[in-house]
Amino acid sequence: MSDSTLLQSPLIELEKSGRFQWVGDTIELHQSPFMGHIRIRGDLSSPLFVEKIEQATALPLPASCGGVSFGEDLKIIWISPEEWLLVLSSESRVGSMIDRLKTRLEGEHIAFVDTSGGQTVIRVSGENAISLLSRGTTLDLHESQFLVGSSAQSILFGATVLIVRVNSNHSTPLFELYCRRSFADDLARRLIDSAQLIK
Amino acid sequence: MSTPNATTSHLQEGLTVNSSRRLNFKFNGRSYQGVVGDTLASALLANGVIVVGRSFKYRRRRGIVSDGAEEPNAIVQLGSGATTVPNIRATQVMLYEGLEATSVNKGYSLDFDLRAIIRLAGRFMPPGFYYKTFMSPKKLWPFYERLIRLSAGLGEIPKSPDPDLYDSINAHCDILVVGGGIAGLSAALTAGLAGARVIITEQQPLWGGALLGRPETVVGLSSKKWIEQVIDRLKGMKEVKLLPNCCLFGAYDHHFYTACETRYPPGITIPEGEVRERVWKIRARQVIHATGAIERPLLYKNNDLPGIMLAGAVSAYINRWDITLSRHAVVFTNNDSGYRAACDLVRSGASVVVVDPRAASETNRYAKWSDQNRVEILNQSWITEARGTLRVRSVIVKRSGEGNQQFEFTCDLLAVSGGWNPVLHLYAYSGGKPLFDEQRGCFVPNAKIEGQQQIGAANGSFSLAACLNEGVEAGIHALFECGYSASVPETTEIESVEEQPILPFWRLAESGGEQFIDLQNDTKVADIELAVAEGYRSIEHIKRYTLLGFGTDQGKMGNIVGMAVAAGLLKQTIPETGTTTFRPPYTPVTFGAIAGRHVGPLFDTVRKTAFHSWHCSHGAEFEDVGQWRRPWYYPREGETMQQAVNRECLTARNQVAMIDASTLGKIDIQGPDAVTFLDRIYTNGWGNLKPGRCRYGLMLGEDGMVMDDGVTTCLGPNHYLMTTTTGGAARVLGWMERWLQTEWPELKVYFTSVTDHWATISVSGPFARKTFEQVCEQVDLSSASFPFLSFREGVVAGVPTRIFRISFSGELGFEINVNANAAQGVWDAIWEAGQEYGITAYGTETMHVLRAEKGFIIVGQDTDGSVTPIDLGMNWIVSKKKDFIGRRSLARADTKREDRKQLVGLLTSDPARVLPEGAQLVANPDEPLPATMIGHVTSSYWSENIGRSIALALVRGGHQKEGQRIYVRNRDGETIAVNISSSVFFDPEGERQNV
Repeated sequence: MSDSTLLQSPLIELEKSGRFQWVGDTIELHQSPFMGHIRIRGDLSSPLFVEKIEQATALPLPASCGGVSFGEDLKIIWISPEEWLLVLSSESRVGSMIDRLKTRLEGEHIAFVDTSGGQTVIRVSGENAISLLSRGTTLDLHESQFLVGSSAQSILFGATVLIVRVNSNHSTPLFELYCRRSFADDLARRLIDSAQLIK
Repeated sequence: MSTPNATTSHLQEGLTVNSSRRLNFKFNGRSYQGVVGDTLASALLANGVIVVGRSFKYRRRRGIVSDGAEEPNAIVQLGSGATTVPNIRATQVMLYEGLEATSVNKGYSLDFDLRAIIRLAGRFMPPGFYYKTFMSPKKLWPFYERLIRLSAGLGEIPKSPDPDLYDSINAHCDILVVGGGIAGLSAALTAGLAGARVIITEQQPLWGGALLGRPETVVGLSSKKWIEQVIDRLKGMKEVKLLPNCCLFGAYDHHFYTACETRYPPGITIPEGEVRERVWKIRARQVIHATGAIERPLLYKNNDLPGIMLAGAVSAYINRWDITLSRHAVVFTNNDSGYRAACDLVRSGASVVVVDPRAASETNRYAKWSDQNRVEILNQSWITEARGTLRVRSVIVKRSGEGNQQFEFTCDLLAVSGGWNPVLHLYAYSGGKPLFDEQRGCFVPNAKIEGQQQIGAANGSFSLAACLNEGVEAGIHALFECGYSASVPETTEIESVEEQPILPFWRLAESGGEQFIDLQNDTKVADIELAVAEGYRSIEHIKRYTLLGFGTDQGKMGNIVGMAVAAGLLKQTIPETGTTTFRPPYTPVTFGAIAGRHVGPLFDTVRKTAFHSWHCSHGAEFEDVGQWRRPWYYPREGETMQQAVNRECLTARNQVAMIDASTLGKIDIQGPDAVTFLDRIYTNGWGNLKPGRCRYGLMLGEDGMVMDDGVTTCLGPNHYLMTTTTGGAARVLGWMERWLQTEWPELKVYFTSVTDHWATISVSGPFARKTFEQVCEQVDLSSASFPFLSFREGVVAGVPTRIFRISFSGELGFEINVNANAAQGVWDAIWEAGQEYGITAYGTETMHVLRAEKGFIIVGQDTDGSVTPIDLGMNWIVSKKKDFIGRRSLARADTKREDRKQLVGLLTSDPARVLPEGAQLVANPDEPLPATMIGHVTSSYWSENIGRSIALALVRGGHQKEGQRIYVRNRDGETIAVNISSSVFFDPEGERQNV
């Protein structure tokens, strides 16, 4: 997709000026729209697969399922035994990345699927971030259980969401919510609604 | 109504009694004053209000009995208007300025009439009264019912929507402690000191449990001081969460607990944006039940008179609320705890007589005290009757032994203790079967439940020392189970006090009259006797026949007594009779709290497509399809729905129209075994589908019934895009993964949902090509190079797209998939290009009409899980050459029956008549009811294009009945003649889509 294309995020109805955000005393919500999201499917037992993915992304694959590898402007989230989400800083980088991956793994049983239009990211931060998310998910997000650099796919306020704990700051944790586009508006409304109840 | 004092940094301040701060409140319309720290019950008692309501069945006057959740009598309606809440226990609501309460059972204006009827019946309402009395004459039932309904139920529900906010939160912890009395606090402190994640809940706004009403010395401190110190320490621990005012009401599998936190009491006006109640959904690794015990009443004649209270409650009202309850009191107790009330009564200036059925004992430590305080103790004595009209005035005491002496004592208060029942509700909710302990005269926890401990009074350990020690021990054990090393908190051994054992007894043979077991439901000893005499044996049946334990209090006070009485009558032991089943909630929970924020616009999840704003700004009316919000139709000014749909239908057939089809499920399929997989999952074959071509597929369940359908496209070698129905998207992906992962793991194929990534625009109609070619680059759209059922990649309005030549309307059509982030520009470009051809957007209603004209099915509307492809007349799509899921089931005798319900078209004799969907079909319109149904209408519309109504239906043996006349039989008895026709009403050769 060319850079000049007019893009609309799924939170368009909630955007006041520029990208969506909601800032309270103890909770902040910020959208990171138009990131590149590539679903990678492959077989971890294939040394070639691991080597080539790591070459193409210049990142090691996460060490355990649910783990996250952070790079400078990309990250890899291990979602399920044979599925990863490769996140790029911009949607415009997706095409060349997929080409690069495909070229290196020609003939292998793999799949690289662009889902950039189908997902968005809402970043939740602040001292009451966990309190907010706990209103919508049964996951235990306590730092002893949900480590920095770990992720989980679950239901958050009724939406299918991939939750990533990004930072290690105890007092103001930061989570990224990878949310399906069609649910994003509803999710954001529920996040705001519950955030307003937290004093 | 005013808002709470000092914005009540609510409930935490002003809990302890502060007699200098007065609060005004109203009870049954009269004004009173209480003080900060009062409950409604304590304020009423302090005002000398003895009668708080009338009984449910007999309208007997009743007074406050207890000081907690077990209260059966002081049940009130709080507040008025939209925020009114019924069935609140006056013992559990903290007084606030402006509180307004009414008794839920203070009598109705028609009460008199109803009781007149009851008097005519000449009976005192035994169990089964209603059905025994009002069965005949049958004609009078509506009259009876009206009267009975007026007297039935407790309280009134609000008539308008609740304006208050409620929310819910999930919480996790290592150790959950239920109950903030001495045992619970001791356990929480032990666990908290080790750094464990602890949640402790307490149903009262104040910590301390029984100690609040009966102060003691704990490790050298006053209990008040000890509680304060423990709470301060717990508050300082980062991983400890204290939840006062939070009643844990349910226990479920895997240590899942639900609790309701009351942040503002019912009836109070709360500040904007504040939450009234919050449900906590707690998942714990270890759970400690420190839920205390509830005192039992005793049975004697007129034991329900106002002025008769549980002994523990008497102590609490004297100690905690400083209320002088009595000048002349009688204490009736079969255990030592009643003596504590006697001490408190003496201290508050009352003369006291203690009636104790036990023999005088050396071990009774109160003997000396009674001498000093001129308290008369009558041992081996029983109260057989209480007397009085408005309240208790005297009691009749019988002393066993020589001559069965009988005395009458004048009194204004009777404090009763029949022993204590550990609160084992949570244990029972978790499947625990309590054991009857003869020694202690109560049910206690029996087999341990993994991850659970019961401690203190809830464990039948009633002494202060035992509560403190069991708290520490349980804390250590739970810590160990969670992998923490425990440091034992500094404790001082508390000296255990020897107590004279309880003498449990349940009823006196010589005591007749009205002896109430369940005060809220007016269940008497005589009712249990009648139930047993009529042949009831199971305690569960006796409960239901006599309503024992059916009230909002769930029989917290009376149940065990009732069971023991039943056991006596059945000549069984108490364990043989057993207990009824406890079920959550422990105390009533409001619907508001259960609903939480799932109200109004947040009732259910709403999924939106990328074009949602456009639909809104173009006047769409919406329809919920699953969780999707889809445009239904786009009325122009002044148009009715039918007019709008007619216009959209005509435009789609004669000009050009577009629809947002983004909600269709889309699954990316890649891998060398993709074709093999498709062959197995679909009824038709896929081996010969070339890249760039599309094909319609039908999917069956293992039972051979149609499950889903859609078009699948070969995007390239070993790469396919499957579409599913809107509602079936998640189910189909799960279905495919299930087969791949569990049955065919050898297949090399990957599925990825791309439903949300691709927005889908369907443009169709005779001018679809002319419209689309204006905005589409790089693709030759001519029929020769881009035929029906094929796919090309192209650029539309500068955006890369996938273009499919398919349509669901039977017209020339293009379906465009575009990255949803960039989709609005594409939609706008097509919309602009179509203007010169009069393009319209259409919604689901027009889509349904257009497809029905073509006889295209909608899975889930024309099928219902009991329809095979053969039933649909789609034999052509069922391959004979290969295997697929559901194939074997199609060979079953039942699926091969010729009289199965089969899909047909229906044409009404009157072309203007549109049939109701779901209408039943009959062969003979004159057959008396109930008539033989031969099928039903699945889809029915007015077709503006054909100029008449059309319908699809499933009819028995319908494929053989084309041309026959059958009838719709409507609910109102009307019959409508219809003719069975082909299910394709328009363009039967399918020429239009191929142009």
